[in-house]
Amino acid sequence: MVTQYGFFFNAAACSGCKACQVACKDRNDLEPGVLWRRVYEVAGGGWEKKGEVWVPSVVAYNISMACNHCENPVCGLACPVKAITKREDGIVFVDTGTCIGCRYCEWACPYTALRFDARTNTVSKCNFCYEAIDAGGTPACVASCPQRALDFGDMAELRKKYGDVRQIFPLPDPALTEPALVIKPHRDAARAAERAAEVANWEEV
Amino acid sequence: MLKEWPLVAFTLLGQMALGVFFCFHVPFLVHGRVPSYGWRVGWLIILAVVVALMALAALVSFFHLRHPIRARHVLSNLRSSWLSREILFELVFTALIVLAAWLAWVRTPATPLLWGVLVTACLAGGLFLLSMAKLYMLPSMPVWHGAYTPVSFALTTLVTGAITTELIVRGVVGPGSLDLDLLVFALGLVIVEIFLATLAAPRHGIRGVRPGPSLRPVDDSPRRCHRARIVLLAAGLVFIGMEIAAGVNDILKERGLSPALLMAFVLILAGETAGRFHFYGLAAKPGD
Repeated sequence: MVTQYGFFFNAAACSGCKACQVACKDRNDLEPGVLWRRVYEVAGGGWEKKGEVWVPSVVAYNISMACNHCENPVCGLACPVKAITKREDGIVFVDTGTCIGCRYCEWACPYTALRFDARTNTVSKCNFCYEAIDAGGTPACVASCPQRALDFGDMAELRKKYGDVRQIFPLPDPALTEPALVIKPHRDAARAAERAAEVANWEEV
Repeated sequence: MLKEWPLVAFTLLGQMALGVFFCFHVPFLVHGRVPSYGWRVGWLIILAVVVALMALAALVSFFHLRHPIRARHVLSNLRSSWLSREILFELVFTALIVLAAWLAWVRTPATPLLWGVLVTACLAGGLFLLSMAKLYMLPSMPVWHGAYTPVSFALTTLVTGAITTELIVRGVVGPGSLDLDLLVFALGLVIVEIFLATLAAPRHGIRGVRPGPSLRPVDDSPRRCHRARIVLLAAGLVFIGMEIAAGVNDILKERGLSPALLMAFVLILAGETAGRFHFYGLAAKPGD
């Protein structure tokens, strides 16, 4: 039995096509502006002098990020009405029938996974396509990725298969929430901070 | 930033209520007594103002919620949510103030009981203030996750409390036994607040915390809010200084309100409001 579902994201393979983002919106019938999965474009750098020549030295990669169904879900700990709960299989779930719309969880989550849905006047977030999972299916984002940059499964299996990297620039310290996430870093990620990289598409995420 | 006006109003009104309660009662309580019979009318007015401010704070807080009816369950996560705890201490503090007002109204001879109620209210009020600060000291929010948040909340509480108490006492109470020079107290605290804001205000203070790269969008806290806070507090400081220099700061002798004191109150409150909008503007919500 799965005790903690999680996502794997291959930053080295992601082309930033945003098919995962669109598939998520489509499967969950999300309003414009509400994104449960987002693709951040991280970019930075400039010119570097090598000998007598100036060469471009840039970093550019994408991060596809949804709720990480953390082992220590700080959103749920912060919620005053216990509207955010964790299922036995680790999926963190928002009960929109209980949520009072105080939006405190939006501040508490370092991954900005919780999004306000004006249609229900509550917060909402990735539910891991739990109905599909329960029926033996696949989350929409994972199924839609043409690069196979996303995968899902039991965290123990994912770690065995892909390793234990949970943080690349500019993700928060995983010790804050223990995210159920494994990442294969892009080669540029290691020098993103030093090259003053930043998210380049705030308007989209 | 302006969307957070209910939180700005809630925290400012709640802190002002706490400040009035503390500034008036602590001098009595530390001497092991309660306000004497000569203070009765003024004391009841002070308690009524505290209750009114708390009620108003509670009322505006509902504008922050999208489903206020469901808020009846807000105490269900006391184990881990500082928001639940904040509401609990708010309710306990208000209930104790109402009880104290009733005891003061019926002129109960049981002074130790009244003293006990007021001391307990002090503790509940302190925990209410602590909850308000802890609520925002989230590890996910580096700009709030530091000592600046509780210190600035405490300063707001004491500054607004001292000025408001001075106003009430001047306006409605005659000579009594309040042995605390609230204007000098407020003057000192406003100086500390200006210094602290200039030096340590997140994002715009000289040595304030700067948010690092993250998945949170750049905040929308304009520098002009930070500047407005400092300028308005400094202007309020000048009026407090004028009032003290005019020699009418002794509330044991002086009755009535002076224009300088009223101006100081208005400017300090405006400065605190600008500072609070700056505070909430530091935390942009994605998609807003």
